[in-house]
Amino acid sequence: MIKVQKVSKWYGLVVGVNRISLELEPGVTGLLGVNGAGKSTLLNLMAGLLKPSSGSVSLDGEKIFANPDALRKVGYCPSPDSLYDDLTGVEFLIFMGRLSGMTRKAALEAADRALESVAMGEEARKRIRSMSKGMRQKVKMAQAVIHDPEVILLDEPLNGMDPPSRAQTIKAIRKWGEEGRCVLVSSHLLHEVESMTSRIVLVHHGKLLASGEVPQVRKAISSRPMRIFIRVADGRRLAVELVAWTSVHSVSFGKDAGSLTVEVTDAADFREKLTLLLAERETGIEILNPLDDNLSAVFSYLVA
Amino acid sequence: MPVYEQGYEDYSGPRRSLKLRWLPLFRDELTPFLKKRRFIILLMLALVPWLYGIALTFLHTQLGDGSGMKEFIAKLPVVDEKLFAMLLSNGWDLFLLFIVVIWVGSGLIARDRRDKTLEVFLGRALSPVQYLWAKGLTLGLFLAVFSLLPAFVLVVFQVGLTGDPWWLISHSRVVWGTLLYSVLANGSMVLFVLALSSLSRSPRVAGLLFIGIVFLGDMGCGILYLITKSPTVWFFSTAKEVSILADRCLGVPVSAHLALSTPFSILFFLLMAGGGAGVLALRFSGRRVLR
Repeated sequence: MIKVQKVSKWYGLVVGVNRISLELEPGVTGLLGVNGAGKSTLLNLMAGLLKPSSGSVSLDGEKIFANPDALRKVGYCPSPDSLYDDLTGVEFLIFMGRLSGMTRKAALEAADRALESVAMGEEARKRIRSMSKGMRQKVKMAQAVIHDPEVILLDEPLNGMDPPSRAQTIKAIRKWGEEGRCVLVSSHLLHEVESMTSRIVLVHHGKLLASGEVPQVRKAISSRPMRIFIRVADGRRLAVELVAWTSVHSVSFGKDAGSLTVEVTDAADFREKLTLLLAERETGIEILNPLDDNLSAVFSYLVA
Repeated sequence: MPVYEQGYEDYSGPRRSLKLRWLPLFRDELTPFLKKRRFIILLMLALVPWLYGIALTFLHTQLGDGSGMKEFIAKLPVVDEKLFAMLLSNGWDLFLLFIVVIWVGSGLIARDRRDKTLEVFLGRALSPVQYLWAKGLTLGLFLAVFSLLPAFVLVVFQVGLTGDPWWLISHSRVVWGTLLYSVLANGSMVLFVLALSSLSRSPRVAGLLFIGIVFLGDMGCGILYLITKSPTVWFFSTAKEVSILADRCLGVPVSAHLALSTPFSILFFLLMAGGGAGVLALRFSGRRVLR
């Protein structure tokens, strides 16, 4: 749906985004990167707020920048507070709905729907000035979806939210993804991105480091052996067998002889051999747990 | 690839045409000012000089004959192009006009930049031109209170009280001259102030920039005139140029010490409008204004 092709954005001599290409499919995608990695620039380019220095961003084949027809299908929730403090949450949403071309009545109904989707009720009738950071975030998210966009771009939507609000927001984001919308969420909070989706886009120094499902990305990091924890009745015996395999880089013991941490260079080969071993005899394996097949490990391996 | 519900449907309700998307923004800008009593009083004060014009019309048409005041009234100015030129560029109104420009204009874009709402607006199906049109129209409408609106009222009074529609024909320049003056002076002022407002995140800074340029320009011109005695130095004086423009548009001879050539005056407003439009184009074309 939304396609980024060899996009670069320069701010004078500083490069914000460097030849990034990616395609967003329906569902939720996490946009990860450290501060200054280029996440917000990439989101601004996708929201049609910035003109790419080179390359193009298109939605359903139409360029996004300066194209109201394409922008109509995009909902953007920026990271900083982008609200009129003197209005109530509902008034602000009606205003946004009207800017999207709705009649007042339709905007009011859409505002109610949008507020419901972010689990916000009567609090939305308060002046934005008197709202907490979490509530303001929810109003900001509601304005991004008030016009039922196909593509929803959320820049750090969980910032400043308390745990219950975070849980509600994550639920809302997942729901939008399940409805078939393209949702791109930028965040620093890896575990929360992980609870929304396993599909990520990782940027660093303005470049695309990786994109895809976390396990696939992890698999592609061949320079780092995959670490697997094994809890087994007779650790020594298993360790002797494992070190002989070519796919095993190292085996180390934990606190006791039954806890092993195996570093594997070829996960597929290891799985195949382990399956054969389990079929041949009783090994007494109680726990088999990949230690770095998660977002946090992928992030640290690629960015650190 | 996961299987999704695909239950999402695009909003299918009534939708305003893309061309009119700026209307809510315009209304949102306009309404808060109309609710401010002090602002309304300020606008009312701008009409005070025009009451003089209405009073003149009244005196000439109602008390001119057989009232015992004939001689006194005969000495008073008549309502014509000269009076309109004087009213359009009177010092009182110019002072109030600058206050309104600073009050309304300085925050038009700067406030959106400060509150970061500009990203939300431009992230919607609203083009920068529509955004600027909504903002500019707000200021333009208030500036019209200083020229178009009272001029129109005075014309209506004049025609109504004399009962002579031919006055409008013989003084047609009052109508088109005022219109031309309003478009040139207000239009260039609006573009200039919008450009200044787009340069800062603080309405106060944008306002100070305007004050600095206008008042320092006038002061500098005054000093230069004292030294050189050349009328050309008034070229950079906004107040003087407004006055010259009003005289030129209404076909009234310009005072000798301001006798700049007409191309100079036009150039001043072209520079103001062109410079403003150029800055806005630069700031909005690549969306540098968002940074």
